[in-house]
Amino acid sequence: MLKIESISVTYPDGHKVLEHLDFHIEKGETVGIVGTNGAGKSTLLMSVVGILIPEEGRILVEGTEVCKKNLSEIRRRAGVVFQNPDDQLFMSNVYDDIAFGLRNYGDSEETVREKISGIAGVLGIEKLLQSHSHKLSGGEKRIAALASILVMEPSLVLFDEPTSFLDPKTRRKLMNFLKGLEVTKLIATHDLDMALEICDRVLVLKDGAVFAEGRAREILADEKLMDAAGLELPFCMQGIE
Amino acid sequence: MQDIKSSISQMNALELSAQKNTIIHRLQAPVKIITTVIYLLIIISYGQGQVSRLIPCFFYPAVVMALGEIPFKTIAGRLLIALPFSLFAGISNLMFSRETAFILGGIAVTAGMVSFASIMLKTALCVTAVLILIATTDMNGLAYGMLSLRVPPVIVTQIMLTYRYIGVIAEEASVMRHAYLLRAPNEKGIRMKDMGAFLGQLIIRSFDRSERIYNAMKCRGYEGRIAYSDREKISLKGWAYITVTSVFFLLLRFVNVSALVGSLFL
Repeated sequence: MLKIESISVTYPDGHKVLEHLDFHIEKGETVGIVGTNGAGKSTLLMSVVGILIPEEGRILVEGTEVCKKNLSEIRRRAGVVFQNPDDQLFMSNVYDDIAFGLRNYGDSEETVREKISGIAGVLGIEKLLQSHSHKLSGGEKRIAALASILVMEPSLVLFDEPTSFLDPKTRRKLMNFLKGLEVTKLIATHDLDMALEICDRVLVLKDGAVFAEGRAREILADEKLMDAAGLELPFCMQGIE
Repeated sequence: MQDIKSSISQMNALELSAQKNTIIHRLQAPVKIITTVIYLLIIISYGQGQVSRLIPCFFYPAVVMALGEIPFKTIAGRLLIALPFSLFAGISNLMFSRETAFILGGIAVTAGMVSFASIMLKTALCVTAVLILIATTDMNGLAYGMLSLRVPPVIVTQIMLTYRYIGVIAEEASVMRHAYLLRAPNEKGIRMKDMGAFLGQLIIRSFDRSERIYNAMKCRGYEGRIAYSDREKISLKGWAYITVTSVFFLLLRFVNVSALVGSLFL
């Protein structure tokens, strides 16, 4: 599904964010990316959809290489749910926001209507469709942003801190939804409890490289490893609920 | 200094009014835009000395406000913000145009006074008409209305994005202001000497945000042009409304209603 082959990404100011990063994700897997601030989690997500192009190595999404000429195809297959839904909901109402990607890919208005009605039903946001994006609560914005990606039926969804800014109940609701979501998921997060609960596998990034990789329950429970990566055990493993 | 967020919420009062469901609100957005534009053109076409002929033009906004259940206070409040600009523009007429135009009750009324009154009336009428349009049509409707009238999508997109993010930026400014005031408890607002850094930070944050928004757009296939839904066609009912109101405006423009009403009493 997703193959990352020894990629290196350097920002224009010369700061090397990712260095010879290698990993792959199988179809249907849910993989968490954890690491300290600046470890390269968001950069990795942006590289997968070609917002940042690595100067070394290559990324393959379902066998298609991420490069300038394939970006349109890649972005239809891989959707990104941004950390801040305000960055993602830029149209004046929710319907147009969800329709944005579909229209850009040339879907007819009838198809757009059908698909939006479908996804709104699944996510329970039918009543929000005509609402102004900026009038929604944080949780509603997050769901609307998610809808704007899922409506494009991507085979890979990348999440950047999906549980940030959410109250506990909305966080739980979102986590339950993500657990049931049958697409390949790559989740960059600081929420280790969420990673533990919904990810099959976890990738620990440190200084732009893979520091550790393995089953979520094994990696996240390894106190020494987590400490060496600049992280802590998930709260539930520290006895904090 | 008033809190930035409360200023924004005051701005939203008109928008809330646009959510109502009256006969005026139900009209298609392009119909309301066309009618408003025709009304504005008619108002602008009056000469500087035609003050009395402008007065019957208040009939249209008064009727639409009544049918659209728009609170007079909401419109009047915003009108008061706009009027000072015309006041300063028109005040020079009072000083430079001092020849007597006519005598009213023994008082000489100068040409400057007449043209000043004309400017103020025209402003009041035009601003009221635009405010009524905003108070009866939500921003999305206005945007699609503009697209239906072949306004270039790039302009509509600019308006939509500005509208969408003005609240977000205001909220960011509000948070920054609170952070500032918490560390400057004796200040009532941002000191002038800190204003440069404050605004600079706000601009940098806006740039960062715009880059993130652009990335989010690109991730969903954006390639320089926002695709909107199909353009709405004006219905027969809409055309009928435009025709009736236009005929009424033309009657106001070419028939001296004030003189006719006056002749009934004299």
